[in-house]
Amino acid sequence: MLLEDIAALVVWLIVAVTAINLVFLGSVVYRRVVRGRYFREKDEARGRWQPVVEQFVRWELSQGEAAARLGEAKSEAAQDAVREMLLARTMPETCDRITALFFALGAAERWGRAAFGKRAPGVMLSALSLGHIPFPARQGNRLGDGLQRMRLLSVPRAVAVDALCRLAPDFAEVFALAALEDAAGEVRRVALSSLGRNRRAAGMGPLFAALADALSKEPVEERTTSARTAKAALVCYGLEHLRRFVPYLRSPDPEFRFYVVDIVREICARESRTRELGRNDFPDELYEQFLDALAGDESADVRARSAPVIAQFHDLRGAIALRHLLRDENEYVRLHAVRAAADPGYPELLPVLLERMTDRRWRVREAAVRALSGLGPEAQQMLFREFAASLDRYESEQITEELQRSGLIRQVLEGLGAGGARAQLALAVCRRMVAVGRTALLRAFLMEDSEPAEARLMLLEAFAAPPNAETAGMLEEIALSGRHPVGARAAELLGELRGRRRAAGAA
Amino acid sequence: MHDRVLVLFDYVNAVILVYFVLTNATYTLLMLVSLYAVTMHSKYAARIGNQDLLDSPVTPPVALIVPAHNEEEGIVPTVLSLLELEYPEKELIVVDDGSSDGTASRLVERFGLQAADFIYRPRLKARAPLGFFYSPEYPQLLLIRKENGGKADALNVGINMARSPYFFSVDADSIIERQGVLRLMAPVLQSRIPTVVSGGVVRIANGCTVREGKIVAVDLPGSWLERCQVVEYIRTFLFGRPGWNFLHATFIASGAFCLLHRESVIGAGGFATDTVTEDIDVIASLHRSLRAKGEPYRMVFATDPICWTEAPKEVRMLARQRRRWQLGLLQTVMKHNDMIFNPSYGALGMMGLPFHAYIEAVGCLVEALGTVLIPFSFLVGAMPLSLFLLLMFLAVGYGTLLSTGSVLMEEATIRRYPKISHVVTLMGYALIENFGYRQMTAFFRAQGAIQYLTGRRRWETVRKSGMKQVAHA
Repeated sequence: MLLEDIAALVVWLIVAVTAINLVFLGSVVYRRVVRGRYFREKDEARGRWQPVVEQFVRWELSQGEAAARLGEAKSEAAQDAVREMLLARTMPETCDRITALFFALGAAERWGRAAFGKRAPGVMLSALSLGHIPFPARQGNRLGDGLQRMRLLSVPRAVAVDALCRLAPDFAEVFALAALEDAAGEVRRVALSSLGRNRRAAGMGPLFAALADALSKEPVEERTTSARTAKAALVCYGLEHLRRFVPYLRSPDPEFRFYVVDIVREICARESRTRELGRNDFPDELYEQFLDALAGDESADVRARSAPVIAQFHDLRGAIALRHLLRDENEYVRLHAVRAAADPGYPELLPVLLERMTDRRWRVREAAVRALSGLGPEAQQMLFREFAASLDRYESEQITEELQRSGLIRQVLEGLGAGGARAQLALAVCRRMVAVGRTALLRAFLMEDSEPAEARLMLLEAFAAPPNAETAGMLEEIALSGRHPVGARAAELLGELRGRRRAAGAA
Repeated sequence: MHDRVLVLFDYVNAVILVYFVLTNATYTLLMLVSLYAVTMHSKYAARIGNQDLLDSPVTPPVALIVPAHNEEEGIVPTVLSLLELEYPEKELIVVDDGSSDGTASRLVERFGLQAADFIYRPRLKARAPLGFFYSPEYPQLLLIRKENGGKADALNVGINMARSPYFFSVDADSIIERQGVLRLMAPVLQSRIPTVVSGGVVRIANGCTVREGKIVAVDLPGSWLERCQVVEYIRTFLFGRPGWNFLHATFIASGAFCLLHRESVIGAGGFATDTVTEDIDVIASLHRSLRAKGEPYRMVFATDPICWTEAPKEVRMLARQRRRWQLGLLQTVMKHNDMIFNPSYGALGMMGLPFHAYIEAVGCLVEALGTVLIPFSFLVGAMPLSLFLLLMFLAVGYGTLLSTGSVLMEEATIRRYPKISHVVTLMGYALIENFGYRQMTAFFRAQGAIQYLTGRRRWETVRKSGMKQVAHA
């Protein structure tokens, strides 16, 4: 009986699996066909409504006319195509019109329902009154929030909030602030990014609150936001908003202070890529806060990240503060200060940068060498002279590495054939490189027939100067290579070296 | 005697039955979980996008470490494609692990690299580099030459030279999609919890057309062996890995395509050289080290970052690859066996690791045995037809459901195969691979397990013949 049952079970299982397999196959084919149709419709919709969109953004069509014509887009593909085309044409001068059109088309209302559910009418009303009527607060409960966090429900809400947050900033701000109350991280993340993108003053408070939440002492699983998300949004703000950062720079929490300082640093770094900043670009309160408080903050992380901001002041007080930070007791403060001082606006700091090349921490040494090598010919000459005279092995190795990485070694080797003081300095640099055993590039230069003979012969002197077993081996290798003219000269130098050794042995 | 043999057969068949029931139940659970996780992730990623990460200064730099051993054919296209990856700040470190061919010289020639003397600060134990090659024209690129020490050793050297907070191990014969690294980084940046590992999907490039290190046309390979592997990879990466990740029990992240937090890996001792699958071992070591420190951490697996790699075209090479994977898996689970059923490792200790140890690592012996014993028992009359059919259904028939389900998932989410004929063909192979291919790989895996048990623990080299390249138009 049991065996018969098993046989029946197997038959049923085979039938079930076969049926499911067929359903899967049917689903795959169906999906492919449906998607093919979707994209065809979308392409057709683009072709049909692109001229309407263009006419609308050129003010050749009124909002009513555009809404009437684009309202004919009924299918999902056509509506997606219209949405994408309108968003692609959203610029500061067209933003308000396009937003109004989305409302007229009913798209904004549709997204609002998807994003806010029962709260949608209240949120939409608040958005239409530009926030003058407050939106209703979300009523959460443990079970409901748990369900709302499920990606099955939260992803469609996030997508809808994303669409709403791409409307005109006045509206987007209300939607984003309402979405910040959502239980799901995905939705809040979209809202935070939108607040950053729109760079409006009202968004700052919630963003700093989100940052504080992310850095709270709650167990990490209970935090609702990622610190990086909040930071990335705050970094979008500009120099003109920095005045509002000052109260946050005075936070008693050192980790929070560190993040805020780092955000200011990122903002300054972005702005300084297009123009040189100066003290007048910063509000007085912020300027004083950095120089009086943050440069001497109890937290080393805060001091470290303050240095690049202070470097943007480009004035005497900034230079004094940087000099102080360059000699800070903490390695990371010195490191960031060195990187910050790699600025042609601070020639008075060059001697302190030279000092840092012998720092006991290799990261600081490396940063100092890198800073000097990138500060133009005068700093580079200082670097070469320091290197030639250095007796510190660690410093020498660091400089050698940077000479190679930055390509400055090429300048040194070309200097060998220039004659005069430049050639003498170049030779001294090469001798030092040979002395510390960093010769790979020098040997490659010697063996390269296309390089100037005069420079190569001079470089050969660098190899012969300190007579030891290693350099003798190299000379032998070059001599045996038979390259003209360095091969012959290497043979001569080798002969002299051996002669000296024999004489020393006889003595 | 005859009766005793029959009783023995009964016991063995009962073990086989339990094994297949457990395996199929776990895979079904994983499939359901993955279907949910993968669909939601792809829906979110498709609509929200990652463009803001590309522009954000908050996106951390990444080191791409490419361990290469005798890869002269593919290394230049790989490096070119890596240099062109969309990512704000990256360093590319190629570690030539004692190649006897022209791997290093091809790079030196193509990128004008010159020998340089750089400072090497070993934080992880590894064979010291023999030389560095660098060019100021390609400041992101560094070539390191060293004696052959194996992939783990090469990766450790790369980590020692890397400066970025995250690194990314890339096989020299792999091709990463342009936004692959950015997509791997997205969950790291969005996470509230420090993320130490982010893995992506590896797909088979056989049949695809490659131009200058980029996939320009996706197609299916021609041979049955390669097509079966395509289905197998889809199954592994679309419902194995995401399923375990959803359950917070990640134990495997493919070494061919994985982003790791550098300091955490250094803290965990780096890549170990005592197993042949260093990528599996490093994940277990990370769990161990971070749990011991009591630090909160997360490992993620995302299905939208994609990397393409070449699969073996010959049965002999496939056998070597599977033996090595199995050997490595066994070495790793035995090395970390104190984590099995250890509640302090959470879902990994209670579910992920026991599954990998008993079902994946040791289970291949049961599966291989079952493949032989079930038909044999039936033929000699030691098993009734109904039981034979049930076992065959569990061993073969149910697998078709899992394979076709994974192809459906591919179609619903990633959709990398452009023609409908591709998907229908894959559906066909999802059925076919359960009749022969799966049993064959079970035997190869069993060989790997036997190698482990008999102490023959060596790295078997898998020779690959290269992808279909076309010249630049």
